[in-house]
Amino acid sequence: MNTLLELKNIYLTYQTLTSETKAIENVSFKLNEGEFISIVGPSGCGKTTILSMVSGLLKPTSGEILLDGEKVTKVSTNVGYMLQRDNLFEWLTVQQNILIGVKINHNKNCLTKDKLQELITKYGLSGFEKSKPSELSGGMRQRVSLIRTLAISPKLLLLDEPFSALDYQTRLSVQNDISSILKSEHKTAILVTHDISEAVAMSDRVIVLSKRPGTIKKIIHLDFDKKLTPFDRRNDLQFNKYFKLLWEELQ
Amino acid sequence: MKKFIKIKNNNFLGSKEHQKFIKIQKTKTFFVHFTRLLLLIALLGIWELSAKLNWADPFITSSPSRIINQTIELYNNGTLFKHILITLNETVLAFALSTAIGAFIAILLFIISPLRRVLEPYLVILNSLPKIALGPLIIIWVGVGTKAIVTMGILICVVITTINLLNAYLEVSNEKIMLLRSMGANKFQILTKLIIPATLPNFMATLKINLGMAWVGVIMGEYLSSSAGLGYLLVYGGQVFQLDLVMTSIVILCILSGIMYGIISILEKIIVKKR
Repeated sequence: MNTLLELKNIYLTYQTLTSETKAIENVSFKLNEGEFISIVGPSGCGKTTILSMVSGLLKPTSGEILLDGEKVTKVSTNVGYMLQRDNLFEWLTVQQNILIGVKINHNKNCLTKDKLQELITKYGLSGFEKSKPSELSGGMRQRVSLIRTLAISPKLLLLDEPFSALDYQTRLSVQNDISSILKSEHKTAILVTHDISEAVAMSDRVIVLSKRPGTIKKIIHLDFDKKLTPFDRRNDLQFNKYFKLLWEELQ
Repeated sequence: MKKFIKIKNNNFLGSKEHQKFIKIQKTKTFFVHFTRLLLLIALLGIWELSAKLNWADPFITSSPSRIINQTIELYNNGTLFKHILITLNETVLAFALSTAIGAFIAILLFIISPLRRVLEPYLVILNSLPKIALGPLIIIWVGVGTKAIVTMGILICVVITTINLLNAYLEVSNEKIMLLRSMGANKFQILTKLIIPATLPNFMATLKINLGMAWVGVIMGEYLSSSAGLGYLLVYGGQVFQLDLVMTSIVILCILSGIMYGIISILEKIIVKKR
């Protein structure tokens, strides 16, 4: 399998007038095409910082990030970023929200309108194209947010706790939806979460970060049957084993 | 109140309790409107009566009938609309220009954050400065008449517009800005796709404040230097002790500013709905 993303000895220090804070220390890992990894760790350990650097919004203090063999120096449409809140624009319709990235990039390297319509239909949003976000449920809003991210046709998706604002029931079903969408679109993704069960249910590998400054404490390979959905995984015998393993790592 | 209008339009017919509820609410609303009207009629009636029965000297307090007569007199000698149009023209000019200039400065300061940091204390001082203090300077620098009056109007409105809009821009969620940046948006795109549409309700609210300020500025400007207009009539009426003229001007000003406020409110409903 091809390596899509490689982080080499990444360090990051935040500077303020009164202090400097080491956020990330010597983080290196590789991510293969089509792989789904999660990053877990105590709050403030620099999980989001890693995503910001991969997206090109933040420059590492030292070390380099290679995406598809090229060094990441600025923001590009190769990376799609999905945030904790859906951040849909309330004054735009669902369709206009989905097209916002496409418009910004003047259709360059983006999905076509037909392909987007196909996604809208496939993921249960047809008939809502002209609706305002306020008319949608939390789960639907998160799906719109994902399609908006997919619209710029990124090779890599960064998911920054995208389920934490949802209620438990919705969260489980949106995890299923998003996991199946990512699988069927053959997307590579990094998920940042503080929810251990979410990490076990969704990913191929889990990276455990230490307290600040964040270093890689452990990488755990999850060996589930490929066909299992996140929901099925929760009922699998191995689920509790991995959950316990991660729980102990995080103590 | 809005909700009930909506229900009426949808021909919504609910249960008996619901209809009863609507009826009670409608009665309440009607009562409010009715009382409003009654209050106006009562005030005008007492005013008129007190003048007619000489409880108060109508030479000092004027009266509704004297105001009507004064208006007719102004109309007959052909100056009523001249004064109204002059003041209206100045107000609309001051309002439009100050909104445009204020919005432009706010956008500039939003985009160029070092400039914002440099100019912040100046904005605060300019905002708290009583602009009327600049009156003599305005007359010397731009001359008397319309120019001076519109300049005064602009000076009064522009700083507050800038501050209001800039604050609204700065309050737009950072996450949304980050989202657009992660999609590769430049500053201009962030402005047009996010900041301006997101702050449209604030913009409309600013327009309303601005309108009131524009009236203040223009009337103040006319006090300062004018040969026509409603502010001129006010000053003139005061000087020659013709209180009917003063009261008439005030009533016309009330009506005009009410109408303009109404226009902006309607505009707000249309634009905020459409954005």
